[in-house]
Amino acid sequence: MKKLLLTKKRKKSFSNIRGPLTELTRKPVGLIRKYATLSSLIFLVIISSFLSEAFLTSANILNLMRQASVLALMSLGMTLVILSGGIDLSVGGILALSVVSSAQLFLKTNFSPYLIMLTIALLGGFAGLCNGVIIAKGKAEPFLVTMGMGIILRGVAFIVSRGRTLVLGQESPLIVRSITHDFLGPFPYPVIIVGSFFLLFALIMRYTTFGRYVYAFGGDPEVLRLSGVNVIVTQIKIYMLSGMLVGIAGILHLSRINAGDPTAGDLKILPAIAAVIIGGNQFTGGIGNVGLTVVGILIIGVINNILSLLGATYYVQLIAQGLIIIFAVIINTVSSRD
Amino acid sequence: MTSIPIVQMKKIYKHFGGVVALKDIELTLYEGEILALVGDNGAGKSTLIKILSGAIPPDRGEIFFRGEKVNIRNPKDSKELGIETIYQDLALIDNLDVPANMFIGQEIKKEKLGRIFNIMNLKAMEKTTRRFLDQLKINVESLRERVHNLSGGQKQSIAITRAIFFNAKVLIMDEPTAALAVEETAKVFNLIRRLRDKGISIVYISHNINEVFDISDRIMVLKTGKLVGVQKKEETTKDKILRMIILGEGYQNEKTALN
Amino acid sequence: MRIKKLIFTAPSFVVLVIIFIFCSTISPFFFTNYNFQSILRQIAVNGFLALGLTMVILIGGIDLSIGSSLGLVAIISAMLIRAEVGLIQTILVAIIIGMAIGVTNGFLITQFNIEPFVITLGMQFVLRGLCFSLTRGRTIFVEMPFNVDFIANGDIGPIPFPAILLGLVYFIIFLVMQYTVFGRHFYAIGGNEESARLFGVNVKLVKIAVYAICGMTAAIAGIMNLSRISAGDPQAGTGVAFYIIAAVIIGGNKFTGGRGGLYFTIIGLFIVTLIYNIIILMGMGYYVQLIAEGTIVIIAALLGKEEKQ
Repeated sequence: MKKLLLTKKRKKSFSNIRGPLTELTRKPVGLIRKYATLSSLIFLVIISSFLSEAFLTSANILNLMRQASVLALMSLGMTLVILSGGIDLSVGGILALSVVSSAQLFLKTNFSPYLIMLTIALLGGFAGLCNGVIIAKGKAEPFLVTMGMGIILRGVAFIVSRGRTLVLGQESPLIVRSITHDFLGPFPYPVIIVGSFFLLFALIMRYTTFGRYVYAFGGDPEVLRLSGVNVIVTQIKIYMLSGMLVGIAGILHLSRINAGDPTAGDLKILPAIAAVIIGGNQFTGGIGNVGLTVVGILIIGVINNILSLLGATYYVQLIAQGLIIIFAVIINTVSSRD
Repeated sequence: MTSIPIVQMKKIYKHFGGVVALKDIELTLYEGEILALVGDNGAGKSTLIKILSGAIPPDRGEIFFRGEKVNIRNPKDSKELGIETIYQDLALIDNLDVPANMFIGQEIKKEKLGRIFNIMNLKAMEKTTRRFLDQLKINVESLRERVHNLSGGQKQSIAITRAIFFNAKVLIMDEPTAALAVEETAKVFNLIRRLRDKGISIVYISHNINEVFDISDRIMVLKTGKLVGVQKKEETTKDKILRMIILGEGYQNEKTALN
Repeated sequence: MRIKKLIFTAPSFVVLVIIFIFCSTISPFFFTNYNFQSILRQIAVNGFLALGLTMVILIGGIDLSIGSSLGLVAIISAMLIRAEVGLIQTILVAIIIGMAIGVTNGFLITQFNIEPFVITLGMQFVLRGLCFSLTRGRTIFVEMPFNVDFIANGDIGPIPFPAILLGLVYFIIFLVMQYTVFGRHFYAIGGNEESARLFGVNVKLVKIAVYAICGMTAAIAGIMNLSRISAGDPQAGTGVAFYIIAAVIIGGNKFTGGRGGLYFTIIGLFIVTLIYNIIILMGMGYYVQLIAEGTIVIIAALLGKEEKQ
């Protein structure tokens, strides 16, 4: 693809013996990818619990998950895009635009918060639609198109926010603040929201034709087209969904920070991609699923969490993240060779 | 062979940039026959069948199906007519399993609610796939593995199965045996003959003159985008066909389009 | 004749000319010595990064770690200079570090056959983390001896020194590409990697060398950066990778490699820098530059797509 498109037209390696349809009722067949990353996560959790007694507390775990929410939603959309053999570098720009737009809407208008949130989600979807149309109909490289779009949207975000950070302060409606701070039973709202989306998309990818076509597109878009499927619509939908999810992530972000910052998301693009890859999805597409991304998000979250519990500085987290990406991709690539 | 052709392509013209790939091509296909489409590299065979299968649009020309003019703009259009195509090199999607490939583009969906949301009935597809393969005596052990691991012959067989079980009336095959072993080729040929006997029309592209004389009823020769001629197998020889392919020597009884 | 060839092989050149004319007419400050010098200086710093990255892109790869390499080298060089290590030794160390980073990238990519995007993505995190760790997050301010300061801020005649240096390095690389075996192998891989391999080209080695070159040019850019701001800034180079990729593609290089060249990149750099320049001169906001840049990237993406069929 994709890549990156950056991806040259090269023979992709699909020599894993796992099919994309692994239900719980079926016998798992050699899930090397899934087991490797999942066991790494478990291993990490065990070590962390020894390294810090504060780790395995419910407060800490829930806080960890809450902090990872925004990134998780971004990675969810990114998973679909990467599985299809593409990439979405505009997620930072879409996040920024969503954040400042929703901030402005909350500050300057009296619209219902629910309406505003819906609008922002649709706004994100529209941005994704633009990406999708240019990529699918214009037959242009996803890497470049989404990169350009991200830059444009960041510019638009600056316009919308007039270059300032829009602080919501007391203006923010209760519902907005409660998104981050309230609980449903023992679980923080963000976790419920993100979890629901992941579950929804896991089902979509496994049981709907659209989900299957995403994988097929990542495998061989031309064969898919020749099979009578409208690949242009499929590809557009993929980017639209990614954009929409980022729009929703923007609302979560606004809720957490309580301010609309036009530079939001700039540093989240690469970690969002990293989570997808660390979890075990194949960068060139076709192999993987959203569950793997959950594992990737959790691995990053746990590492960041235990490092900060141990008093290590944020920089060490960066180094750790980088090393994990490299190791994860090496392990996954090597283990899926015959 | 009935007298109304099931497919007719008239005055097909196609160019890519400055290169004319097909000029004034006429193709006639009757029901229940195997028409071999032969020619040297660059003759335009693949281009012609891609136009018929909807993969690419023609610049000029008309296509008739059972006497009626049709407009084939994309692969879905041709499939709806009952034209199925098996492309060289592009048979299956490697990262999906066998049932997924079998039903790609025409998945079995669950009742009612499933139809609205396009929810697939995975069990039904797996069962049906197994049934198809058993009927054609095609041996694939596990249906849940990625097809990447299957042999060329198995992949080709699955592609053919897919084509014929979805009501194909016309089957187009682009060098289906190119990557196959002798034994697998024989199996495929038997399959093709059985299909022909059922009344399915087949367009068969090949470089292999022996294969062509083995399997076909009529032989159509292209050279550098132009129609050289069409011969019934019984009325011609390998030598004559080769001369048509290489030298472009046309014959009186069909249209010649040289110079 | 040469000019004709340039125009026909590089439509971006026409775009550049148009932009240049537009800038000249629209702002009186544009066509001044001072402005041109400042433009050249800017291009020079980014030019080194673009040089290495172009080579990587031409063989079908990518390197996201150039920004953090720049930062790391700037920091280490700052430390060395503060410790009163001589300029030559510092430059040597810098280049070796850059080469080491590049070799590591290249090795991981070729040895395990992994997507360059992912490997250099990981490397970028590691290096950036090192940047912060080494400086504990703070910028290292160093008093620049004259010779170091001259690198980015000096002039030879009317031309800024960095531009001259860049021209020199470009020329050297041009000679290498045209007249050495390495250069031929390089183009062979860019054309068709599989064919090149079958013809006996040691693809792995050449690729590692290309990533090494990219690392080295990033190191030079790091020294340039140090000289320019007289400091080792742990955040230096953040986000610059995408900006440089944009310049390389806008100039007309093919994203998947094989077609293009260094002169395309120079054109692309000029286009992007001129736009940035004119927007500043006209007093328009930062966002205008962003929107303009993003739009050009998308246009370049649409124009530079593969020929279908």
